[in-house]
Amino acid sequence: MFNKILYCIKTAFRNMRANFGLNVLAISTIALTFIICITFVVVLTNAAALKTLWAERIQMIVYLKRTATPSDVERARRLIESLPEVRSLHFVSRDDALQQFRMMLQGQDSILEGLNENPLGHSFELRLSPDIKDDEQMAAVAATLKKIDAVDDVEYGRAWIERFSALFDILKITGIVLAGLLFLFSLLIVNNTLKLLLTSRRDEIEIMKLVGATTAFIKTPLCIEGMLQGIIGVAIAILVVSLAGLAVREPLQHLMALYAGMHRLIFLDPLSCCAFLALGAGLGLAGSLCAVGGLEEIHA
Amino acid sequence: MHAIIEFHNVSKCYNSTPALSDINLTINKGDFVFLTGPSGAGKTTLLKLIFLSERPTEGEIIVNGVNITRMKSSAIPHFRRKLGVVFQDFKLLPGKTVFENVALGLEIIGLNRKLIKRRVWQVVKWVGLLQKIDSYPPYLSGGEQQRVAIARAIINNPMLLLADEPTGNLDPGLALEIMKLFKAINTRGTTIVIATHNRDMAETFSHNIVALSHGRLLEHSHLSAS
Ligand SMILES: Nc1ncnc2c1ncn2[C@@H]1O[C@H](COP(=O)(O)OP(=O)(O)OP(=O)(O)O)[C@@H](O)[C@H]1O
Ligand SMILES: [Mg+2]
Repeated sequence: MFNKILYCIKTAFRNMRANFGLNVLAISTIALTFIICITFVVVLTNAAALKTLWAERIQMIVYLKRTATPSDVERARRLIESLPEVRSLHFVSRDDALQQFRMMLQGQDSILEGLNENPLGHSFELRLSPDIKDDEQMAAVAATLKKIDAVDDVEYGRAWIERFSALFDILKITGIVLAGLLFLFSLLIVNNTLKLLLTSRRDEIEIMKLVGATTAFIKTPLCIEGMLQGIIGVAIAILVVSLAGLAVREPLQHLMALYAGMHRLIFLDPLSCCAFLALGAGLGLAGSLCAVGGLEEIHA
Repeated sequence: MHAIIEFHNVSKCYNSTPALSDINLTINKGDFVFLTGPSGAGKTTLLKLIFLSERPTEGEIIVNGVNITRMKSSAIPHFRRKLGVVFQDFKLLPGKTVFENVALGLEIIGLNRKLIKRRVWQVVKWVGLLQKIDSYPPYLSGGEQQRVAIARAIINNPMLLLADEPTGNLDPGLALEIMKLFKAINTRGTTIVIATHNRDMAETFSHNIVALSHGRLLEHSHLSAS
């Protein structure tokens, strides 16, 4: 048994070398499919993380007038806190705000040099109670807040988040459909490649049958070959996506930290790599299993 | 003596054209039989019926006590491992070396490498091709390819060896060499059936001759027995 398995594996590798061109074709198709799929998964994972991040973050910012005194601020805080719609609030002093602003400008803060005085006011970042769901309710809360003396302006971006949510859903559905189509496509390619391989090895298969090889013995190397095509294809895809990820990681991370408040981008972890490899092997196996059905028809 | 091959009223038609008609034949264990007849007489067809490459249209075939007429396809591989067949066109794998071609019959039963190596060397040496063991069939002469085919056929110590026109395109000297090989295999107890259109050669090497013509059995002579 062990000897047979060893022979099948060896034969698979040998056959791959013998039909190099066809194998390269199948492997590149699988690699391409998975490059697209893996990229999509990475983007989607990050988008999902971003979505939850935003959903949990500040939902409303209350800017106070620059003229507000500490007692004004204290009064405003108490008033805001007393509102049932407000779950929590976080005070951001004008100095902190300037600091943040400088950080955002990063290197270009020369435009701030002319300022002797901080142009920003204090602000509160609010998280609202979960009952506040739509824009109308938000607007009502904002209106109430605006009536407070020290309040200059109220900003909220819920609509934007919702639009992002919708976009995310579209992205997700597109991704699933696209991945499905690509899978079908590469399954077809693997299947076709193995059919071609089968045809090119017709004589060999006939001879194997004539000397008493069971169909299982003939099929196994072909299935191993299909599986190897899948695994190698996925490995190449993972490599390509990882290298591309490494190249854009720094600037992208910086960008996301600045504009989306996301400090840690999620890349491929070893577990999903293994899952993708298994998927590739499965794909190759499925393709070859479909193809080796044609083996029975070879008369010997 | 025990029969190893029995044909009972066997007919074979290819698309309703008869290739063999009503054959009754018994070949005993240890026999050295020549199957003769002109081209198209049905020699290859008869051999194919024995190793189940074709099924009879009518009649029953018994090989080594087993009725193979309706043997399940899944049982054929195991049945074939007990036979050795030398094909009219050799059927060697051009992309595999002599060693690998001969080893094939042992690889499929899962023998370990060491044993395979020993056995293949032994057999290849016996047919006199040791110096060509790493060559590929397309670079061998007809006689050498014939010997590789024989080596592959006997690698499993078959009880029955079928050879189709094994001296077909060989010069008389080489044909003699090959016949000597078959004789030697026969003396070890293997039953041998050789198909040839060369009646003279058949008579030179055996007295057990089955003559076919147009798919019919003309005679089965056991000259040595008389
Ligand atoms: N696969 C096939 N399909 C249809 N007809 C066939 C097939 N194989 C053989 N025949 C026919 O059956 C008859 C017997 O053929 P067979 O090959 O058995 O002859 P043979 O005695 O081996 O001839 P040769 O000496 O030329 O090899 C021939 O008329 C041949 O045309
Ligand atoms: Mg013939």
